[in-house]
Amino acid sequence: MLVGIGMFLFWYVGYPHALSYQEQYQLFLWRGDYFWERMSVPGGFADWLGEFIVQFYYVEWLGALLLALLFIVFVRLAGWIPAALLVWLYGDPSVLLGYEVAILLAIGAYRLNGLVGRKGLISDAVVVPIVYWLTGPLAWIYVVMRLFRLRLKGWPLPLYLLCLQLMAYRYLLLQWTLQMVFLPELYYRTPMMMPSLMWIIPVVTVMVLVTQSLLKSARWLMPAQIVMALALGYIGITSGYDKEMYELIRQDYLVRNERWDEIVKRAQTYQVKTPFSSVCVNLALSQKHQLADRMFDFWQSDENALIMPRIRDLTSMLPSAEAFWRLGMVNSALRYFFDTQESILNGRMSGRCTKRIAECMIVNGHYQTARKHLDLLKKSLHYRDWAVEAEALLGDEASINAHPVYGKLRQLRYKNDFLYSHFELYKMFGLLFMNNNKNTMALEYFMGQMLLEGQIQGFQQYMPMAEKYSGYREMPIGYQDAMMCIQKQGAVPGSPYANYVKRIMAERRKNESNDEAH
Amino acid sequence: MKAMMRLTKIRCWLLAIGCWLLAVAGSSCTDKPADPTQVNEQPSIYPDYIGVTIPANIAPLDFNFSDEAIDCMDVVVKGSKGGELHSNGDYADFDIDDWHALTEQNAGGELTFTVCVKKDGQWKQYQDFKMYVSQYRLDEYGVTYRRIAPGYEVGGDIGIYQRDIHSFQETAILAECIVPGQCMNCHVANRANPNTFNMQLRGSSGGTLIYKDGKQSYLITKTDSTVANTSYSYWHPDGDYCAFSTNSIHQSFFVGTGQRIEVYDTFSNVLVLDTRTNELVLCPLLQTDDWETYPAFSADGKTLFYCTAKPYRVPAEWDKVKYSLCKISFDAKTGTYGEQVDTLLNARELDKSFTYPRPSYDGKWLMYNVTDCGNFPVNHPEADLWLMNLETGETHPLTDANSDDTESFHNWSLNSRWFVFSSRRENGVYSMPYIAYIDENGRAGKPFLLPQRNPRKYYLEEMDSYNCIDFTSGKVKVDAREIHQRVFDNQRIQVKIR
Repeated sequence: MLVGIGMFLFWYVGYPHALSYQEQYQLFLWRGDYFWERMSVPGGFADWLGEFIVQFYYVEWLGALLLALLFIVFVRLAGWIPAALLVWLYGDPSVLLGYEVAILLAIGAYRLNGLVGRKGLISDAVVVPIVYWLTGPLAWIYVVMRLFRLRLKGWPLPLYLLCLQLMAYRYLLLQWTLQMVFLPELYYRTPMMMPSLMWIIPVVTVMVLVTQSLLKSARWLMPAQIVMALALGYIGITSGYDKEMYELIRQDYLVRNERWDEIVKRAQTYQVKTPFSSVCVNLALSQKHQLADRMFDFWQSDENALIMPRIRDLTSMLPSAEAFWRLGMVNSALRYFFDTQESILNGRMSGRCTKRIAECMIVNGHYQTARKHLDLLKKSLHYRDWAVEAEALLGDEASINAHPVYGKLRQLRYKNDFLYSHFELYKMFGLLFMNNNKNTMALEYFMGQMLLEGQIQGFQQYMPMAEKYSGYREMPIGYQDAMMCIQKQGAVPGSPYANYVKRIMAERRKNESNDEAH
Repeated sequence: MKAMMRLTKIRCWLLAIGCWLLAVAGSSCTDKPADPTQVNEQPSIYPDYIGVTIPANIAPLDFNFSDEAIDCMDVVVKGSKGGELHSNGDYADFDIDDWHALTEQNAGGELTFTVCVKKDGQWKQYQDFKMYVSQYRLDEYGVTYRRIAPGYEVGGDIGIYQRDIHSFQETAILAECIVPGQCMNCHVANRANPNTFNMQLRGSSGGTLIYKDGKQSYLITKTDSTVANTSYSYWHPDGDYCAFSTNSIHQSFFVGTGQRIEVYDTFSNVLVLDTRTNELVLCPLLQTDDWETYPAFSADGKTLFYCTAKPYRVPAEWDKVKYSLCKISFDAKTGTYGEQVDTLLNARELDKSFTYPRPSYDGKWLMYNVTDCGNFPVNHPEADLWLMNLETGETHPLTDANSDDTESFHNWSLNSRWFVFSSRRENGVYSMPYIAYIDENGRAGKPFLLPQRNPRKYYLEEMDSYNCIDFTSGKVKVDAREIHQRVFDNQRIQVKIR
């Protein structure tokens, strides 16, 4: 019970962003063919069941509760040491819940099948293929444990499972490598990168279960396991949960939930020095109308601190995509969300991205394709209601134009069509503002981007326009600081902008000297 | 013991109830039309198969009623040369064998469809419509295509697949899961031959895969004398040579709501690979400062068609890049080119861009794309299919096959009476596979969407585009694991210049 409460608090209080991260890279569909597609490969059922549970992460406390309950079951079935290793493993956000489910199914099947002797072997003739199909290569846990229970009589079981795997490899899984057939790679989001812990845990699980059976009467066994588990858990939590990575995941989670104050507050005490973090903080500042004042109070990576260029991974582009969306650069938002979704290397859809993609299409008036995406969301649990409401808007120009978000974005977006250029971001922000001079976010991004790029003349030239349209009663402190730096050629002690410029200049010099050295 | 018996009984009952519920849920309506009201219009069906021309042995052209909120649909099909077929259910769903028998019986004739629909307890009978069964067969095994989400710069869960066009079976030729992180480009077969094809893989372990008669070669095609790896390709009919373009391909993205993407080259040339020796055969006329691309050999192999454009400052001047359609002779015996280039369609004079030439295998026609500019028609909503008579040089648009949106990635059947292509006519974003008949005068019949069981459900839920679609005469049986090995073990052969 105490462990359950601990795990619940661990996820709900400590790592709610990890739950959000998992949830946003899948879109569980309540459709028969979705189930059967998962069931078409060994281990697919555990994968499906894992996804089924992960969909509830959308409600954080429920997700944490389910994880805690699952963990209690895991401790009871597999033991303390494998459970501690599992907590360690979950520090890697690419591990899918299906992995834990598969181990539980394999051990559960072993616990249920108490038959021994000839009956036991006959039952295994049926159970082994079923367990293999439900859990994939983790069925070895079942087979090894049954071998242990049946003693010498169980010798055909490993051969049986091996034959099943080889037959699946030969006749069914023609697009799988041998490694995919024999290792639980299915439960890892990034192909060919499965961490060692994912095969160590099943081995340790079997060792623990065997030891428990052999030393049933040893009183020291349980305390020893708990001590070892606590030690492993401590090591796992302190070394397995990369602080910077989880801070970035948290920032994205806060962006997703529009918790702008929290982003700014956290960045005041700890900010990871990456463009991703800068984009999140700047977006939060802009949403609180503080960008002009406070932008350089925070660490700014470089000229990509407002919008990052395209990067092929499943996280980097998300804050930039959200910034595009709010700026009114709807097509660019669509592009970043689409490419983010396609970067999910296990081929899953993303509920979060699909929702935004559908929204972009609604704003752009592409109702047929919007319907396609909404239809998917309607098959999910948590996005369904929203999708039904959004579907009612399709084709209804008046309602869309009157919509507080979509209508506004239609006012903000570009009137003329041209090609996006990441190297001319400040010009694009400028054009966006010229398009609609109520778009103060575009104005702040325009001025901010010029400062990031060191476009001093442009910044000075457009200062009067910024003052006129921004609605500030007096010149923002950030702009005052930048102007002072420009006038005094950087000789302003303690100036945040001067510090940024000095750092960037130093980095450039270093890069140039490195280039020359090469 | 009694408790056990009771438990078993309860389980049996639960099982029986479950089966009954499943049967009820899985069953479609079985009502027969009773005293239907006559409607003075043809039914609105999805896909729009009304008036299409089909080959005799194609998979059943199942269809849905456009209005989803119907209780039941009853369809009777009668052949002009005899035979009858009946379907009753949520959508028109025909048995494969019965459909084949009916269409075979009516080759050269027509099928008449009588559609009755029950809605709100009331049956309505719509005007009959027809499908025409061509006397020309389509005996290829199926089609190959690349399935890819219509995204931007990330390929995602892409794969190259094949589909038996006489049934509904689709199988993977190469799926993303076996070569993760690698973008795979078009599978290009030699005249629909499943045993001779090439494909490009991009990424850190990229290369050109040549597959001939069960043997794979994985090549690095960039050399000191060529500007990039090979891209677009077309086989010489003898199977020894394969023409390629080498392109530096880029993409830019529009901020407006119309066209999404413009794909352009910053340079490109055309060359030929001798697959026997892995040597590149270059020609100065195809290695100029202009941008040559999209090579295609004529049916007799004596002519190499290609497209060429004057260079512009891209992406700023993307809309000025227009490709002419040209040809040069090629002698496969000596592996040499002619000394003169002929321009078939001049982009500057006609103010259009002509790309993706695909000669018919009977040597009579050349099908190509016409767009306002650029070389990547799939992203141009105005992209249409045109046909050139190679004997007379006359051209005309394939009006009945074209739509208001993109048509692209076309190719011919072996008897040159059918062609397959992708079209975005349905929603402007997703390319979908169509097949159309073409008569002896080069007039296309109304194309039909590749048949699927429950097509509305299938295509609504399909989140991929169909690219680089082509016929295949047999099932492609390449060993995907060998490709995996070659890609990740870096077993690549460097090609040389002849």
